[in-house]
Amino acid sequence: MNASTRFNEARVVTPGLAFGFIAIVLVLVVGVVVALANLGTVYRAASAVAHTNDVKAQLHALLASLIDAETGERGYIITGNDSYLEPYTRGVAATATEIERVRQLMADNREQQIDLDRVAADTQVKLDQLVKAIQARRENGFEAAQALVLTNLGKRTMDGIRAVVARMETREDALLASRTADADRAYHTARFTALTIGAVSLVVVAALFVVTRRVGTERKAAVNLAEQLRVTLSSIGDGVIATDAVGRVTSVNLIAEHLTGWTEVEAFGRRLEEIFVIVNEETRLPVENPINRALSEGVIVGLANHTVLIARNGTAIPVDDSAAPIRTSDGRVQGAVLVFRDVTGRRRTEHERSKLIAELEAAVHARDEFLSIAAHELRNPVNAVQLQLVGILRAFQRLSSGTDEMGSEGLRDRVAQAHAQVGRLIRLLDNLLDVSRIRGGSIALELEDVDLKEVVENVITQFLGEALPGQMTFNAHHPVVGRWDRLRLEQVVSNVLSNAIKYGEGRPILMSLDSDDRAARLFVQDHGIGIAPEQQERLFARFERGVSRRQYGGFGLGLWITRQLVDAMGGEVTVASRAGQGATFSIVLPIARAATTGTRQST
Amino acid sequence: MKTQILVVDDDAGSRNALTTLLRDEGFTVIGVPGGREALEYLRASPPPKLIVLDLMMPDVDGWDLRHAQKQDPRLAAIPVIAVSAAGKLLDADAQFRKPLDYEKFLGAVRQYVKPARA
Repeated sequence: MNASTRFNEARVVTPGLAFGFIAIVLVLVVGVVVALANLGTVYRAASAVAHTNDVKAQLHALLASLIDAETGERGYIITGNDSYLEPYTRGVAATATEIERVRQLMADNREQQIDLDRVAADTQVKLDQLVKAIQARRENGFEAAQALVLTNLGKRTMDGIRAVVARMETREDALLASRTADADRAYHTARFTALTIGAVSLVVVAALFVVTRRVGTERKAAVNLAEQLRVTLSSIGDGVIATDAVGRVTSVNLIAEHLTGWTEVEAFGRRLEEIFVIVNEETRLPVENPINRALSEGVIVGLANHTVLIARNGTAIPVDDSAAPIRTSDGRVQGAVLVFRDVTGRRRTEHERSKLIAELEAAVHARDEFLSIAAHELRNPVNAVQLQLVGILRAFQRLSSGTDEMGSEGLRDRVAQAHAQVGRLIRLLDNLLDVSRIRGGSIALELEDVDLKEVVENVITQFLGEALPGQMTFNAHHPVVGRWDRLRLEQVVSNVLSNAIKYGEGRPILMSLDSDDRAARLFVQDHGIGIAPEQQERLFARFERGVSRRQYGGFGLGLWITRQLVDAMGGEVTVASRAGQGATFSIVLPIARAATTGTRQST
Repeated sequence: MKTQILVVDDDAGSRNALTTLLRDEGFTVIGVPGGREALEYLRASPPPKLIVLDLMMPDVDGWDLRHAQKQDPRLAAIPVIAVSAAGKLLDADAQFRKPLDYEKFLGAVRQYVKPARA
């Protein structure tokens, strides 16, 4: 189950819709009740009309029977023939039945009952008169009967009956008119009610239609919105986990599923801490989950730096995240949403960058130190040359003023010393220039046949002024000739030898040279302060030396340049030493007798 | 002859040139290549009139030597002229930068020492 389907299942019952349903039910109930009432009225009115017609027909039948009886009596009186009495007999027989029927029809009407009683009495009188006339004819003949008729008694009785019957008819008609009016009213009421109910129903149905349509549209929009939200959440490039107000997971998007290793279905309803386990990158101690603060304090909480997500399978993923409370429109916190992303790449970049910065800072520091050392190192030989020149100048002054006591021997010695200091300066400057040449990759070798033994002897001569007398000894039995760059080779030997003098503490420096068909090997061994093994490789780095610069001057470039130059000539320079026990530098150079000579070779 | 000036400098070229010049001026001078040698000399010999001191030296440097000198009542009063390619000795009697302005330096030396011979 996921959030969107739960959302779909929620019923949207609006008050308008409920009211519409109740209204239409009420209208229908009222309509049925009113229709039933009107139907009753109409039915009763129709029954009343039939009843009135029955009554009137029965009264006419009664009159007709009396007329039949009278007609039979007249025929008999005139003819004296019994066969003429047939209508009379039929009429007399019918009257009793007909009066009884009328009485039943008018059982509920007191006025009509009274009139009916008079009609019944008059009918009896009339029938008695007819009997007397018929007896008179049979017994006394025509004239006796005629005399009875001529009394007009019979006619008056008959007229009386007619008058009462007419009154009864009139009364029934009045009753009929009243009932017909009732029926009319009932019909009109029924019609009006039907139309009203129909109209109201139409209105209510139309309203319901509109409301239902709107609710349907809203619900469809809500479903669309929910679907859109779900798709948006799962498309977000960061992990997103939402919780309810007590920190239980309600949704997990695709990226979050991927990073945590929990699917939304598995994670649903669990506590966030189970799904999203975070620890400190270094200490691996649990870090407080930011969603707790987002829920308890209702604030947006960013993740502490160097946080690592421990995925379900134990993988550690560096993450950045933030948690924010989800508020309802009235400001209540109903949950929280956690957004996080994999920052492995960025973390790596940061590490690389800080490493690079450290390297740059070290390089800048080394350069600054180099500049201050360079200033210091250049000042010493310049100072020595300056002082030697001052001394030479004064010697000449004394020579011209005749107070000289030094002689040409002393003067020559001073010039030689000044020359040696200038040589030292030149070596320093060469080294400085070589740094930029080597860095620029433009070191050029001028290869020729060079005797390494001769080169070493020349360099030793140059250092006589710096070393103590007899400090340096060189052991070489025969010339060692190879194709090398003479000046670079001198530079290499100078650097190693000056290094030995500088750190040799005045103790003997032993140099030896041997060779075979393939390589020349020069060893320079001093007995000075030595170099601890862990410092030996650093020794050949730029601006490095084995001891602090406060104690030993120098650019810290000599051995670096030495290694670059030896490398360029295809050789190798190494050191063997222990702290306090001196150092032995070995320079191995290949003896390559190339067919071509004097070519320039770039490395 | 009693030593008047002690020159302390690990740079042999500078040290040799300076001692030679000062001897030419008629001073009695001795040069040593470091602070340790200087202290050994000072403790074993009669105190000189002046110490010319390089600062940046291996092992016992100029600052160390000045500190040790002031701790020793017999040596504390000896004036010190600092001569260095880099760095400063704050309580020096005079301060010079290499390469040396020799005439000014000589003037400072003469404030503390008179040449033993003319």
